[in-house]
Amino acid sequence: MSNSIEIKARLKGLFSLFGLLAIVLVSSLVSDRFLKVSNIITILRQSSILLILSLGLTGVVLTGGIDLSVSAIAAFVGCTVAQLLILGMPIPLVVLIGLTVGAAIGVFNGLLVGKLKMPPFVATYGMMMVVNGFSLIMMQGSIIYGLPESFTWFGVGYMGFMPIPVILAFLTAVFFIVLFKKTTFGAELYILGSNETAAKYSAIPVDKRLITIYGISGLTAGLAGLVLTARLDAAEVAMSEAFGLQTVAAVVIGGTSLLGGEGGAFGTVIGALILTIVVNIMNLMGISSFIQPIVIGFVIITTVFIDVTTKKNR
Amino acid sequence: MKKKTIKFNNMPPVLWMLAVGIIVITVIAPSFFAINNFKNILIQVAPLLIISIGSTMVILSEEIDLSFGGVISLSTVLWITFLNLGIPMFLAILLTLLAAAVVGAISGIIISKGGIPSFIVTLGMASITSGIALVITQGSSVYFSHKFFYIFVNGEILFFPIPLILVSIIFGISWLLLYRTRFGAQIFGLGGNRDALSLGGIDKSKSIIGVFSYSGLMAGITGLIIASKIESGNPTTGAGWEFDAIAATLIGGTSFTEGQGGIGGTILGVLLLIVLRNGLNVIGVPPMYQSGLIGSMVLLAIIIDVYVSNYKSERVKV
Amino acid sequence: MDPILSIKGMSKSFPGVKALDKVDFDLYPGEVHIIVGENGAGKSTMTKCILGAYVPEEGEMYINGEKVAFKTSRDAIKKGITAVYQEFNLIPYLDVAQNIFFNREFMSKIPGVIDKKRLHLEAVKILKSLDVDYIDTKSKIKDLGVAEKQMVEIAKALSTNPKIIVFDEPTAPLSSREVDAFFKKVHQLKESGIAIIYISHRMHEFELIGDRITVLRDGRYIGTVKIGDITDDVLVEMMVGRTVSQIYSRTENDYSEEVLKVEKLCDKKGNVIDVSLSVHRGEIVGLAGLIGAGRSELARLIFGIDKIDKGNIFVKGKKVVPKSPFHMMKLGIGLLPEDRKEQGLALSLSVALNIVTVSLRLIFSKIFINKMKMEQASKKYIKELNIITPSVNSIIKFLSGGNQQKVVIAKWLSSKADIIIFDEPTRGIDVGAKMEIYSLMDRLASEGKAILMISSELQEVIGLSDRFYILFEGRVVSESKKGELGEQEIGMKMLAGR
Repeated sequence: MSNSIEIKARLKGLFSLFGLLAIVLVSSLVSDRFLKVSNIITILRQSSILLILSLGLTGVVLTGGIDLSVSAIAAFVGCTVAQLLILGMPIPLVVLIGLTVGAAIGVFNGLLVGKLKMPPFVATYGMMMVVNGFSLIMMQGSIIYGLPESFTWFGVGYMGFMPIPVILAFLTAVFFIVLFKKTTFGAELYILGSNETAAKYSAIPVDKRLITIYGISGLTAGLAGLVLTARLDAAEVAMSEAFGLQTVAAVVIGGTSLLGGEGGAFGTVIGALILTIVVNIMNLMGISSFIQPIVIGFVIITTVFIDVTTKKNR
Repeated sequence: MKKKTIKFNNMPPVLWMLAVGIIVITVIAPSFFAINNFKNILIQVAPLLIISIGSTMVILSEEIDLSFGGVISLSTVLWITFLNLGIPMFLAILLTLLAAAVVGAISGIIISKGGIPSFIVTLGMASITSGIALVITQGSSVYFSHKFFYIFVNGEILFFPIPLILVSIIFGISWLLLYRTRFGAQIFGLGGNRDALSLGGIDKSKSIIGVFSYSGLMAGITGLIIASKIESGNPTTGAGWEFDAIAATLIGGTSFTEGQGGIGGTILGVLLLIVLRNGLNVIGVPPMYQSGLIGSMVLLAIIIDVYVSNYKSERVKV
Repeated sequence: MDPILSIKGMSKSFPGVKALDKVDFDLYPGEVHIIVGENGAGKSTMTKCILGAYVPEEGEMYINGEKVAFKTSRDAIKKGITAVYQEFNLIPYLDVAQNIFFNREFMSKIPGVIDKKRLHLEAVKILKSLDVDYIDTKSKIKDLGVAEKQMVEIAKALSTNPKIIVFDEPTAPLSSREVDAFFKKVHQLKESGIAIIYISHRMHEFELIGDRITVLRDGRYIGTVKIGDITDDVLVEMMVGRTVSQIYSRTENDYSEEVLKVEKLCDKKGNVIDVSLSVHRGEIVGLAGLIGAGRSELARLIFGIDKIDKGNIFVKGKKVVPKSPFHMMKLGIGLLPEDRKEQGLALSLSVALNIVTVSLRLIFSKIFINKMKMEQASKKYIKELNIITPSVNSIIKFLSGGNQQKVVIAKWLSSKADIIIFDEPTRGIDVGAKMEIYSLMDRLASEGKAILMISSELQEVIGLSDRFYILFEGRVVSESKKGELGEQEIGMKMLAGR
């Protein structure tokens, strides 16, 4: 393995980019419907919500942790927002509340991990159970339909020929790319992920940073929930179930290491795209959607395996 | 004197909660303790207890198994499918259990040899097993009828419901395994002081594979019970069982961090969960609220556990 | 009588350091053979080779005259060699009997099932042979006291029917009464013919327990003597060696401004007891002592990693209660930790990023990083400290120990810290790099920084410090200026506290 971190990072980035290109190539060969503009826009739109959800998670994984509660938070925020909209609350306020709720849950996660030193998956798994529970309570098994058009525009509307979710996802991605690579906070995340003890000894306030990044993860989950609700024009408890595993997959495929200190937002973009394309091509080919979870499960395990093994060899 | 205090330290939270819960429910709804309801409760306990035993062993060894749901679903589907294919009942049961254990073993191998964190592997495995179940049934359920089902669920031997007998046997075997075999001692070792095992040159992989195979087996058995009840195999039946299993284990006092706890506490945890669920039903609290409540309880249990162990380690001399 | 264990010309190296250099050693049945030496002298390395945990690159080992080559610790156990470690290898929620026979339990007729009765019976037998059968074999390890845990560890070692037992600082966690009881056991073991290797630095215990002493220094074998044939002074001389003609040139500075003062400081765990010291601008203050004396723990208190139990800290005249490293960093304090790999560096990241870690918000504007600025800043320090690295973006993992240490120093220099604590600054570094670091420290002091240097190398402390303190078992046992104390005296205080 090369000595320079630049070369190594470029290699890894290239690797996932290469994977993306490979999949695009294969897909276009397999189905002539693949490269149609309408299909491409569909792919972009499908991947938007997954991407938004996975971007916040990427930050958490960079610190060597994990957040298993993101899809639960998205659903909870989505349901909350739907309830408030039905009650007639003005949209800007609703959006604000949704984002705040997401961030608050994230901060709570951060407190458990940062202050109480709980293992991240225990804390976020427990939180997932609690949040799901509260979603159930709030929705009482019902589905909410018929949300105001000015809200659903965020999910189904277009700006030019670009669907709004895509634009939102793009902006979010840009935000995170800048956050991770161009800010001191981002640099501290990488240092934290690479060696938490050294970060502490280097006077980085580790607990504060963890609280912040888990808060951000919750915030993005909230955002994803908002967009999802807008897109579905409905809200129910199970609305984000499909994304649960896919978010981890997107992060991991994109090259961000579960052990921390490596990877980034751009990789997650590629990971989300790859996942969505794989699903898209399977649909186009008429492959049963039941195979999907199997494939995703395999992909996750294999990718992490490669990541862990290459680390050991160095 | 020391012994008494120890027992008090480990058990009370669950015992107290159970006692309080029962008292409250009796006060509010005396009909709760009608014999029928009791039997009902005991029968519900069976599958949850079996799967929770598996989860307890895994957590004791400081790992986590998130794949229960998937394996349970897969087991129901496999069993019914085998039967539909004409395979004799006994063989079908054997094959299904074997498959479940093999899934667990595979997880164990990947975790121990691949060095991949168990939550990722079992998360992925959950996906894979549900996926396989989905593929087999093409998204719907598969059905079969057999008098075995009825006997299994409702039959009695000397007034003891068969599920209960099954549970007792499994509990007995698990207890033996955990407290009377080298395998069990290694589980406590994995959870209590993993470095000690490395220093002693002990092969951890065998134990880890064993633990996950066993919990896979438990999931398989649970799947059989569930399939018998609903007389079908369904790719989504198992979903969510891992929550309850882990919840029961944690509430029952088994700790992630110390290799502490055991299946004794887990029984209480399971009882508590079931009593709560039923009790809340009887009182009239909708099922919707139950998950939130239970989830919060689990979180609280975890927080208390971590807080206490943090506090303890601060006071210990280096 | 022939030796039960014999080692000839054994060597073992690690990257950057020769831990063992052609060492000879022999051991007779029924003797207690003490191994002494300063930190890093090679005691632990040698015993780990004997125990099969390390594989030496050179040399031969004979057991009962038969040549052996251990590849794993299991090989050693099979040959009857076992150890009682300082950090107990016991499993908290299993009981005493289970721990003693862990992985070697007695099986009943039912396959796989442990014969519990026999397990406890045999456990009681062993405990009885140690005269500690008051310990209930059914009690769980977590409920036992330290001395009892140690007895269980010894019982565990005994259950393998060893011919050789290695004890590593066994009396460290024991009270003086427990130590007496422990010594009685050791005598018992001796009498039963077991050979004992005993690593310790507590010189006052030697005559009570030992038969012979072997001294190691800098990985080399210095000599073996019989207890009683030698006085403490001579022993210390062997351990510490003659004055090396290394020159630690120091500039004279004005030491008037006190910037760090510590008063009767105590930590919560009893590792730091009533410590008082002070450091002035322009000074290099040394902190000598053995591992476990409390020096790193003191550094952690000052730096805000551990919480203070009693006592006061004054930084630049103002009383301070350290809340976190972040807090202390803002007051101008920096810490170069003992273990640079585990505590000092993010190994998978670049040199540049490691250098700017602390100063992220100082070098750049509040929020954004500028890659060019980062490289510029790093290049400045790379040049200044003569850090050898292919590129500013190289992964730090691949640098040599000396250069890694320089990066850690650069990290704190770039933060404009003016009170710097160096914990083992030259550990694992070759001589050339050492000299560079010494002159660097001298220069920093001249520039007005205050340096607190923790070191286990006596030469370093004596040669480099303007003043130094000696810690022994958590307390300050001496404060002296350069040249006031002779080497022997220093060695004595470090090793025996008096």
